[in-house]
Amino acid sequence: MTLSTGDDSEMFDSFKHSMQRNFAMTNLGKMRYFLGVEVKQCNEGIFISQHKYSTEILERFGMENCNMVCNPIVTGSKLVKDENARATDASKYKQMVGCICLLLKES
Amino acid sequence: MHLSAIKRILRYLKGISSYGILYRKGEEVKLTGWSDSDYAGDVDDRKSTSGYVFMIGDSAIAWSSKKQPIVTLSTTEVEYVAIASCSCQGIWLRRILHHLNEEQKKATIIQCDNSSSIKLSKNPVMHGRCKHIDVRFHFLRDLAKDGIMELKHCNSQDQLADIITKPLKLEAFCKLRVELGIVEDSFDSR
Repeated sequence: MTLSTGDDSEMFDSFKHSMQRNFAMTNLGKMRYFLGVEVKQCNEGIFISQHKYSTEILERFGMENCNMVCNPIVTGSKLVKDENARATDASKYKQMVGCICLLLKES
Repeated sequence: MHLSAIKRILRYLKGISSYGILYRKGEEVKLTGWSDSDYAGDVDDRKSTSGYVFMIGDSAIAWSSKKQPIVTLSTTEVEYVAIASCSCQGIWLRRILHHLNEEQKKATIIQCDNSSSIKLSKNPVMHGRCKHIDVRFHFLRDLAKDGIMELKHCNSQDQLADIITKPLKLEAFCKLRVELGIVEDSFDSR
């Protein structure tokens, strides 16, 4: 896969054609999706988001219909070990953490 | 408890999944860094979390939020370590911009809300409480001297990197989120 950019449209077109003549490649047009990030070129500028992957994560854990909140953590909350609580599903917890880590890494 | 915390993150993700960063056209390519950290935020080992954001124009281009590898003894020291790791990223970004023909002629400004760590980077006198700060963090002085990085003081309320080091009140959180260039998707592709 190759990505090419340029501000000279004439040179850009001739480069594209010469590449297609010499190598077997298809032109996918403008970049829409790259390394997990969605890219949208609009009149205002360039907009990037991760809508697809974040929806997939929510579906995976059955939370696509959950009530949304406005911030990711409550102020003043401290994460300490709760000795009395029963053990939670460790593998599910790790999967959730892993997914969120990957989401952050791609950003 | 941890599970409910992560579920809250997922619930937040649900609300924000259509958000993204908009890089506006015609912005001047000028790199600015923001560096901040909490102090001893981890209750188990008392290490702190440092974070930085780099902006071009009105949008964030690089950011990091990471627990520091060492335990620090003062807020000056903790910010100093944070600025040091921020500068490493800053140097790299300057090189990339140079490759893209967007050379940064002036020193890159790093905004920091701790004035004593700025002073520490300018004044080579060893103070009693900072004697133990490792030499590797003193390369900040060289960077300032060579005109690559310049530390500037900003108010804590205006500190953009605050959002990635500690939990904020909703109002402050949303304000900083907008300032990082994060907006809801309402654009039509061309």
